[in-house]
Amino acid sequence: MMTPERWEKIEELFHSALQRKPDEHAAFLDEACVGDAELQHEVGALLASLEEAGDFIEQAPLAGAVSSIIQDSEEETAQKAAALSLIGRRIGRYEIQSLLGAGGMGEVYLALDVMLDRRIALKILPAQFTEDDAQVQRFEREARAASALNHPNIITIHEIGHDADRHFIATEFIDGKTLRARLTAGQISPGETLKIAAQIASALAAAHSAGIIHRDIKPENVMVRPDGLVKLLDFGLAKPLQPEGTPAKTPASHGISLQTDPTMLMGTLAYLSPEQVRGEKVDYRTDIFSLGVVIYETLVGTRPFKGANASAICEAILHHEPDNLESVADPALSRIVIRALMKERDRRYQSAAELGVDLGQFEQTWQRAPSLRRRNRFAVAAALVLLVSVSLLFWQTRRATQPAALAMFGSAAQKLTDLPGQELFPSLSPDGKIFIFASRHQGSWDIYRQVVGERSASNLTESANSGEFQPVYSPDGTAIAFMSSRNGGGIFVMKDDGSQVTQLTDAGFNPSWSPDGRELAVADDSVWDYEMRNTYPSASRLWAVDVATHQRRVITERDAVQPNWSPHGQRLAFWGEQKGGRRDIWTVAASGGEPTPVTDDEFIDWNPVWSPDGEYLYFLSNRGGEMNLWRVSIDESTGRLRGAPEPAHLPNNCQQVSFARNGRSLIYGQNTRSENLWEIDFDPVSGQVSGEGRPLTQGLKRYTLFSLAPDEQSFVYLARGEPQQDLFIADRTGAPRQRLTDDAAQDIIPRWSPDGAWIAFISDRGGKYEIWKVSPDGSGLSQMTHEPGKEVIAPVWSPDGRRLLYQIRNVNSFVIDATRPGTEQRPQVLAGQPPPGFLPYDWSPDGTHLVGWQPPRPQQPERGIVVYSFATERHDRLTDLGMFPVWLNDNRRVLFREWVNFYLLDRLSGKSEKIYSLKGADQIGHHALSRDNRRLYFTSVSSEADIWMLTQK
Amino acid sequence: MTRMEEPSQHQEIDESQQQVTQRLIAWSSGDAGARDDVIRAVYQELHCMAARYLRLERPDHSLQPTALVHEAYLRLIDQTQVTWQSRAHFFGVAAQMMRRILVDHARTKQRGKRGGSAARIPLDEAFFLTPEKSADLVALDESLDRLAEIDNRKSRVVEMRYFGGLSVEETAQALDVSPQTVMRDWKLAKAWLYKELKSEAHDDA
Repeated sequence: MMTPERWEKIEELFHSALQRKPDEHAAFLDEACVGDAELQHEVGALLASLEEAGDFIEQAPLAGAVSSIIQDSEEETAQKAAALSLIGRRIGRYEIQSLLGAGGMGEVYLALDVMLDRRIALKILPAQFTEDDAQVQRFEREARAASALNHPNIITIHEIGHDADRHFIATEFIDGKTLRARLTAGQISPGETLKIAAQIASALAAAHSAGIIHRDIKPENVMVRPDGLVKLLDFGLAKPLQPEGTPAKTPASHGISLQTDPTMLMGTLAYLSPEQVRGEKVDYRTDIFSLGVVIYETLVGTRPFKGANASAICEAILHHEPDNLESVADPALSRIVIRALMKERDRRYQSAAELGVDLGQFEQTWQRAPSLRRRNRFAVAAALVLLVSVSLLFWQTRRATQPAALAMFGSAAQKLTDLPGQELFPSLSPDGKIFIFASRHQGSWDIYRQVVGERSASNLTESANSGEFQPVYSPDGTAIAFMSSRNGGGIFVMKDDGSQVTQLTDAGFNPSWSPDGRELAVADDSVWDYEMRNTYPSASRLWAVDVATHQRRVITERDAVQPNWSPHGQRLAFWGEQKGGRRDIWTVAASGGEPTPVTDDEFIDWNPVWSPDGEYLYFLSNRGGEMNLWRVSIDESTGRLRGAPEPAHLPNNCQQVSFARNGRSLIYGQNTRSENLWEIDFDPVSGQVSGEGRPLTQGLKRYTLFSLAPDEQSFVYLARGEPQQDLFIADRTGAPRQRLTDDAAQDIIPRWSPDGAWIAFISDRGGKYEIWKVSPDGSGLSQMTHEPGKEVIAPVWSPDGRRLLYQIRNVNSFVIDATRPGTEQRPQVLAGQPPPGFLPYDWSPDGTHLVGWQPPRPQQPERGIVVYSFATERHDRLTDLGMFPVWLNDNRRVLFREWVNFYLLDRLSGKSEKIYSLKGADQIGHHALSRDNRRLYFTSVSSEADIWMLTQK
Repeated sequence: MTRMEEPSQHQEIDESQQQVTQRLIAWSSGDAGARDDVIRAVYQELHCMAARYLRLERPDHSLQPTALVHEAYLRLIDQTQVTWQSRAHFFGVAAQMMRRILVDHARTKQRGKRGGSAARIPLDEAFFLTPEKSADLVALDESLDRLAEIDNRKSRVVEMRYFGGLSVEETAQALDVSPQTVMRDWKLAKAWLYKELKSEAHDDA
C-alpha cells in the first residue's frame, strides 16, 4: 500500500532526477535511495516509463471516439447509405460488387480484384476514422498482426491499403457458409465434424504459436467451404501475447467481465471459457475450451452449457458438467471433448496441436471401426439402419478418396537395422525389396546395401578412402546417386552393386532423381536433420545436373535444401528457411520459376517427399507436438494445395522418410540422441587437460548450446529434442531450476552475461532473429537489439557485461549499450573489413580483441578461427579449422573445437595444437571454460539411429 | 416566419444560460446541490453537441473535445456573470463529463463487439480498431481511479487535460495551482499511468 509519505518521496526523487541528464539518473538514484532498493526501483521504473511513454495521453481522444456517441441505429443507417453508394465504385484495384455484411465498425464487400481477376472480400474503415492518424495506424497494425497468421485454415489477408480517403483491407473471399448456418440448416455428419474440428485446431495451433489468442471461437466465426476446407475468421478479440518487458504501445484492458451483462447475446456467451466468464486473465487455453463447446454442439446438436438467461448460462459454464455426450458419441471421442471442456485449464488439452492430434487419431480408428451413434435423435431401430448406412457411406468415401499410403501405416513397422551407431539416409529400391543406407561401422561413412528381411549389409564403397552418404536409388533401380568427399567432394553415381563410379559434380547434397532418370536435383547445403543448419544458416540454391552431359541449371536461388522430385516430373519440393529461421516447405516447377509455399508457419517443416501417385506431399513436422509425418493434398502440376495438412502418424521422431517407387513401402530412420555435460580439469599454464572427464548429467536428455553461470553452479541450455525447444536453467547435475522460455519461437545461443545478471539469446519471437535477454529467474524478458528488417545473430558480451556485440547477418558487427532497451540503441559499427561469413564469438578479458570463426560454406575453401583487434581493426584468420573459440585469461591463447577434438591457439605465434580428443562420442556439442580457466566444460553428443520400414499388406 | 423564430430561440438559450450560470455560481459558492444540476446540463449539452456535429453539421470535420467543451461553455454559460473560479469549475466538471461520455461509450462498444448481431456477417473484425481503442479508454479510466486514491489532484490533472482537452493554464485555474505544478503533476501521472497500463497489459497476456 502506498502511503502519502512514500508517494511524496517518490515524487520528490522523480522530479529531482528529471532535472538531471538521463544518463545521470541511475547514479543519482543509487545515491539518493541508499538502503531502499524498492524506492529506487519504483522511481527508476517511473523515469523509464516517462521516457518510454512518448506521446501517450498527449493527444486527447479524437473524433473517432466522440463520433460513436451517436446511437447504433443511426450508425447503421449511415452505414447502409454509405454501402449503397459504394457499389459499382472502385477502390484501389478493387471493383465493389455487393455488400456482404456489416460489422460493428465497418462494412465488408464482395469485390473484384481487377488486376488479378479474382474475387476478394474488401473491408472498409468508416470514413470518420480515417481522419485520425492514430486510429488508422492501429487499424493497419492490427491487420498486419493478423496477416502474420498465414495458415490454410485462417483467412488470408491480401492487402492492407488505402486510396484517397478510404482505408481498406482486402482478404480472400470465402465462398462458403458459416458453421452456424450449417448447424441451422441441419445435421453435420460426425465425420465432417471431426474434419472441421481438426482444421480449427490446426488454425489455433498456428495462431497460438504466433502468440495470438482468438478469444471468440464460435460457429459464427468458422467458415466451411463446399470442398470441406475450414477458415477461421474474426481475430477481432485476438490479442498478441506480449512477452514481458517489451514496451506495450497499446495498453489493453483486462479480459471480459460480463457475467451479468444483459446485453451480451446468449449465443456468444455460451462459448466463453470459465476463466472468461470470471473475467480472469485468459491464455490460449481459452480457445481450446471454446473449441470444445463448438465440437460438442456440432456432434450433439445442442450446446453443452444451457440456461434460460445469461447468468444461468454462466453458472452452467462454471459449475455444470456437460451431459448427453456419451450417449451420442464414441467413448474415445467423448473423452477428447470432455478434456477440452475441463473447467480448470490445467486439466484441459495444453495445446491446440495436441487436441488436433487426438482428433486425427480418433478419426483414423473410427474410420476403421465406425461406432459413432446418435441414439438420442432417432428411434433406436431407425437409428441403427441410418447409422450403418451413413457410416458405411462415409467410410467408403474416405477409402475411395485416399491412396493406399495412409492405410498402410496401420501395419506394424519392421526394424531393418539394429547395429550400434547410426544408419542414416535409407532409400528403397523401386520394388521395395532392397534398401541402401549410409553408416560408419567401418570408420568412415560408407554406403551399404541390404536385402529386406536379411540381417547383413554389404559395403558398396569400402574401397574408397573417403566419406559417402545420402545415397538414393534411381527410378529404375539400376543406379545409386550419392554424395562423396572423394576427389574434392561432389555428387557421384554408381551401379547398384557399387561398380562404375562416375563423378557428376564438385558440389551439391541430398540428390533426388528426376523420374526419367536423366537429371539429379541437388542443393548447395547438406541436410542430415532439421537441426543441422538452423544456428548460422546460409542461403543454399537448388539446382539440377544432367546425368549424361553433367550440364547444370539453377532451379531456384531462394534458400532450398533436401529436394524431392515429384513422381511425374513436374515439380520439386524442398524446404528452406525464411523469416528468422522458420523452416517451411515449398514446391517449384522443375523448369524453375517462383516457388509456391506449402507451409508457412512457426512449425518446423522439412523432409518433403511426394507420394508415389503424386496426390500428396508428405513431410515431417512438429505441428502435432512431436516430430512426425504429415501430408497435404496437392496438385502436382501447379503446387496448389487442396486441403490442410493432416497427420500420418509414424512413430515420433522419425526422420528421412521416403517411399519405394511402387508405393507399397515406406522407409524411415528413427534417431535417439543424447547430449550430456562433462567437466575435465584444465591447466591454464601448460594449456593441457589433466585427469579423466567427469560426466555431470546423465540420460537421454539433450543439454544443447549450454552457457555456464559465472559461479559454475548452474547452466542455461536449449532443450533440443523437446517439442518447443525452450531455454532452461539446470544445476550442475542437470536438474531443472528455471524455465526461461515457453513458446514456439526459436530461442538459440543462450549466453550468460559475465556479471551473471542476464542471459542473452537469439530469438525469432518478434518475427525474425533479434537478440533478447532474460534474467536467470525468468523475469525481464526484453529485446536488446532493434534492427528492423535485418537478421541479428551472434551475441557477444563485453567482459564487463555492459556492452553487447552482435552481427547483422552478412553485413557487419555492431556494439550497443547492453543496459538500454533495443529501441534506444545507437549501434557502433565494428571497424574494419570482416572476412566473408565471419561470426564473432568471444571478447577477450582485457577488452582488446575478439575471436570468432569463418564457418565452412559451400564452395568456399576459407574457414577457421579469426582474431580481431580493436587497436588495428584487423581480422586475421589463424587456422583452417575450428569453431566456437573462447579466450583464456592471458588474452593470448584461444581454445576451440573441431568435431571430437579440442585445440589451443596462440594468437601471437599463430600456432595451434590439439589438446584433447573425446572418445566414444559422435562429437563435442558445445564447450566453455570456467572463469579461472581451471575446468573445461563440454557436452558429448551420442546418436543411435536405426532404419524401419512399413509395408502395405 | 424565420424572423419570428430567431428571437424565440435566443430567448430559450438565454433562459437556460441564465439557469446554468446561476447554478454554477451557487455551486462555486458552496451549494453542493447545485453541482448535480450543472452536471446534468453539461452532460446533456455535450452529448447533443457530439451527436449533432457528426450527424448534420460537420460530418467530415474532426472534432476535438477541447472544441466541444469550449463550445458547451459558450452555449451554457452567460460569461458576463461568472468569475474565473466559476469558469474553472465549469471546465473541471466538463472534463469529468467528457471522461464519462467517452468511457461509457467505450464500454458499450466493447459489449457490442462481443455481443455482435446475428444479422451481420462477422468477417474477421480484427481490423476494426474500435474495440482496442475502447479498451484503452476503459483501462485508462480504471487506472485513473486508482491514481485518484493515491493522489487525487494528479488524477484530476489528467482528466482535465486528456479527457477535457484543457490547456495547462486552464487546468491550473480549475485546480487553483500554478501551471508549473500542473506540468509536474502531469509528468508523474503520465509515467505512473503508462507503467500501470503496461504491466496490466502484460498481466493480461
